[in-house]
Parts: sequence; structure tokens; C-alpha cells
Amino acid sequence: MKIIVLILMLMIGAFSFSDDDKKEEKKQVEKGARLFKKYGCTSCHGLAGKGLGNLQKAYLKYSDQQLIDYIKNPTSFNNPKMPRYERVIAQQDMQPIIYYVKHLGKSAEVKPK
Amino acid sequence: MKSIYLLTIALCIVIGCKTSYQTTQKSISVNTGEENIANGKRITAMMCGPCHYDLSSKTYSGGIMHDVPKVLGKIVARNITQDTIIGVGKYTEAELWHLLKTGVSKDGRFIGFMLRPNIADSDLNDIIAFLKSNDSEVKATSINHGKSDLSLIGNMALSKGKPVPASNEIILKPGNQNKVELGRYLVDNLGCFDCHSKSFANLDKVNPEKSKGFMGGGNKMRTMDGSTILSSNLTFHETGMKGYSLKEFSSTLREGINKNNQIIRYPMRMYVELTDQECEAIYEYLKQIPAINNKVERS
Repeated sequence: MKIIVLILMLMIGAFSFSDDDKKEEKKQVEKGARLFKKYGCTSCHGLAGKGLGNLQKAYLKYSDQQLIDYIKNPTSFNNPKMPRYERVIAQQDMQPIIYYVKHLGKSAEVKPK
Repeated sequence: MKSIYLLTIALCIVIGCKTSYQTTQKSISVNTGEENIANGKRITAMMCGPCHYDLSSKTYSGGIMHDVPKVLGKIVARNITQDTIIGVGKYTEAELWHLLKTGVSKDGRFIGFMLRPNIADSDLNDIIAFLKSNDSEVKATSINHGKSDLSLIGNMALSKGKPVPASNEIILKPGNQNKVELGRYLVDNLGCFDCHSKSFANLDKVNPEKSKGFMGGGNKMRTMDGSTILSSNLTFHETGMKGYSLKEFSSTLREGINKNNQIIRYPMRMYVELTDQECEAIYEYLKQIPAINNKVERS
């Protein structure tokens, strides 16, 4: 009986932990959407990432760190047509933007609030 | 009586709105050396690329102009690769020359925004040399972005103006040592004044400095997310570029970030191809054109 209760408690813990993760990810994606607009990314890439260059496949091609490096210095990825954001985007804003870029490929765009 | 009167007016309007012009039957000789093609590639990127270059395919297959005001309708920049059906593969060198110098296409249409009446013969030679070269960016591709679908206002706006008569006058490009003249030449032929003057409706392609609000900004365009964006005031007024150093200006032009660490947004592109001398020439030219009081708020 005790074992069953223990197992049940572990399962409830696992679900709520996974639920928390999803909430946190959703928060990060929404924050990323706001930053994506704030830093002018939408002016070239559009809200859904299908403007100049297709961002919807970006997460398949690059790791998170590679995406950050790309945004900071696109010329190192052979893209001379995008500005270098290394002096423009604050370091702490990079990861939420990456979350949003990855999200673009997985579902419809999140409208910045 | 009234119907005769109306018919007469209608006939006058139709005759006045001439829609077909003389093209050229000439043939010309184009220098197609490596240097010509390399320079042509550079000039084409800056002059034609903003409209005709497709980032996805890395070719000059054109695309939909997302930056034009919605009121004009849908405008598609043509495929200018060597494809003989979708592209300009059937254009002769002379017909390309004629199009850019007079605005008249191979099939006799006037295309006002193609007009570059002041372009130097050497640059035009090199552009044509590049378009006819083996470069991968201009090799035949049948990518088709569809046709323009202009609104009534768009049709009226874009049929405004007339072709410039064909001329045998040779136009020389100003040298680097002639900074202000070179700057004037670049602002004209790279089309800076098209976007950075008051509006597309009041441009003077033959005498750009006579365009309304020349380089004073405020022209309404759209970004890729559909937002309205106003072009910047590039005159050296307090509301414009006063206080910009040459270094800051060059960095803005070539790196796409202004001196306030803000991104320069679409439809403005990064002009990575500009040399130091060209940046300086544009800067010196802008410094001496009439400064316009026009504060353009960044949206």
C-alpha cells in the first residue's frame, strides 16, 4: 500500500514538474516574441519568421548556441546581409529570442503582447 | 450633344495616356572583361538588388515588393535572370541599355521606376556585362513570383511620367577625388532619394534634387511585419543627420546599425559593397544639400 502511495506521489510530482516546465517555456516564448519585435527582427523576418530568410527551419539547422552566434555575427555564417546584433541585443535577451525562433518552426507565431 | 462632348474628352484622355513607346533596334558592344563583370556584380547588388534579389534562392529572380504602400496594390519585381520566359534572357544588350536610360521596356512599356537617365556609361556597361555573365546569381532560373496587380491609384501613380528621350550623350562617372559629384551620382543612381524624399509620387528622375523634400525623409513604406515605417531625414538638419560623423554614417550604411545602436530596418538594406571613398562621397554630398526641418519619429 505504502509503495502504491509512494508511486502515486512520484507520478503527481512528475506531472506537476513537467507542467511547470511547459509554463516556463511558454513564458520564455512570449518574452521572446516581445523581444523579437523590440529589436526590429520582425521588420525583416515578419511576425512568423517567413519574411527575408525563412526562420521556421532555423532550429533544425542550428543548435541554440549556433543561433546565438549567428545573431551576434551573421557574417561568420556567410550572411553579409544581416546586421551584427552583438552590440545591440542584451546577453540576457538572447535565449528568450532563441526560444521564440525555435517556436516559429513548431507552431503558428505568437503575437507579441 | 452632351454624348459627343463626353466622347471627345474620353478620346483626348486616351490619346494623352499613351501606353506604348518606341524601343530600340540598335546593337551595342559591351565590354565583358573580369573587372567589368566584378564591378557590374557590385553595382547591380546595390542598384537592382533591393528589389530584384531573392535571398532564398540567391539569384536575381525578383520577388513581391512588401515595402510599397498597400494603396498601390501588389507590385512584383521581375525575375532578371537569363531565363528566356520569366527572366530577361531575350533582352539584347541594347534593349537593356535602352530600358535603363529611357525607362522603355523591350515590349514598349514605360516602367518609370527602372529609369536611370543619369547612369554613367561605364556602370551601365558593367551591369549589362554582369547580367549576361555566367554568374550563378543571374543564370537562368524559372522562379516566378507572379504578376503585379496594381490598384487604380497604383496604376495612375506608376504610369505618371514619360520616357526620357534616347540620347547618344556619353555620361562619365565622377572620380573618387571629386567627392561631392560622386556623392550626387551615387545618391541618384543607387536610388537613395527614391525612398528618402517626401514621397514616391513627387520624384524627379532626371533632376533628383528637384524632387519634393529631397532627402528629407518621411516617405511611407512598410516593413515585413506590415507596420508602416517612415524613411529617415538624411539632410544635415538637427532633425536629420546633424552630428553624425563620417565613421558613424559609414557604419550605419554598411553595418546596418545607427549611432544610437539601433538596427536600420527593412526596406533599407546594408550596403556592404560601398567603398570607404563612396561612403565619404555620399556623406560630403549630403552635408551640402539644403537641410530640411523634418523630424521623423522612429516607430
